[in-house]
Amino acid sequence: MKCDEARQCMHAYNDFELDDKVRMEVGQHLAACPDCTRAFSEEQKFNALIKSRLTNGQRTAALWESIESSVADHAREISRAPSRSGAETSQHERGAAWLAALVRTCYASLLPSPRAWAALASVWAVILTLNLLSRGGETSTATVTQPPSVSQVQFALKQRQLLTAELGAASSLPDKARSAPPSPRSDLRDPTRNS
Amino acid sequence: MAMHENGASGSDRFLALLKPIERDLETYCRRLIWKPEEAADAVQNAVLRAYSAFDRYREDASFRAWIFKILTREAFALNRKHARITQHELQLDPEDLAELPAHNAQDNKPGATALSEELNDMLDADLSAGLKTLTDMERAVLLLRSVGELRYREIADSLDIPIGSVMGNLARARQKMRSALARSARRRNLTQEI
Repeated sequence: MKCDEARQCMHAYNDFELDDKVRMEVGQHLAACPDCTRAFSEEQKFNALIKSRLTNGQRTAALWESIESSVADHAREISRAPSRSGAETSQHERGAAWLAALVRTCYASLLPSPRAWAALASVWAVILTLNLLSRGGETSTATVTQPPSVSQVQFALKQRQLLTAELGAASSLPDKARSAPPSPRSDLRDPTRNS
Repeated sequence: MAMHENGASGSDRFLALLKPIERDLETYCRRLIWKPEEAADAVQNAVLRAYSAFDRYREDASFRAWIFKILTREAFALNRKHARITQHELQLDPEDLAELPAHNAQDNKPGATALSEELNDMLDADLSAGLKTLTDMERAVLLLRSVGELRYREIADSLDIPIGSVMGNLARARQKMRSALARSARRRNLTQEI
């Protein structure tokens, strides 16, 4: 290992953050290089000085008493919460809370993922396209209507003539026959007829 | 552990984990935050936020790293809110490095570390001035390492940055602190005493 490579590892070496293999290589270099050994040692002293000064702080008793008291209050509120909610919360409210939690979870899981949003947008675009296509089909079916053929017109006219003829024949019968059609063997029951 | 199960036993467990690191948390926050008068509020908010999320804390993870992460976010949010920027950015000067306190051989002499209270105050002022030469990220990395005593991996997780960025920020932070302290020492003409 060369000096510049060893110097790049200086902070990690002094902080005991190198893996064993690299640490051994740096150690071998230091054993053979007085300049790097001195630089590493000076850096270590400076880091120790900085650390001793930075950690020189006070614990404010009043602040932590207040914080611990707040935590205890919070704990009491939480421990009271289940019995009240269990007794009073309706099934509808629990369902709404569950749905809200589901939406929040979905949103939270989708938010950091641009791919998920892109996939959602793609699905929406496909649905929109299919919807537009289906509407277009209905429109064309409704507007494109073929006129009747000649044979269809002739058949319809023939049917109309036959119907007119039937109706004419029916209207030429006598009124009596039309009003009271003869019953079977009515002549036998005629009291005026003598044999 | 469900949120409802926190209750009294949950708070006892939380406070038992919190107690040994209260001083470190407060010291860290006072060093990290731009407005010292907001440090107490930041600590209180962060601890209550941590307790509210205690049901999501995994027992196999480091509580220390977990709560330092929450406090860091709280402090960063306040720093962003006030949009404070570093105003005394100093460039590394090779001449300054020659005057570093740590380079003095007097460190090994008996009594060299027995500083007077006045000198302590001056050093604290120099230290605070030095911290202001750092970016938010450099300051957080340096403090998480020095005060929080977190591993590089834990710092990376706390700040959501790669481990390589931790190493880069830490090296720059230490270099800037060297430069700033050397300038202060030269200005006060106290190099020999330090």
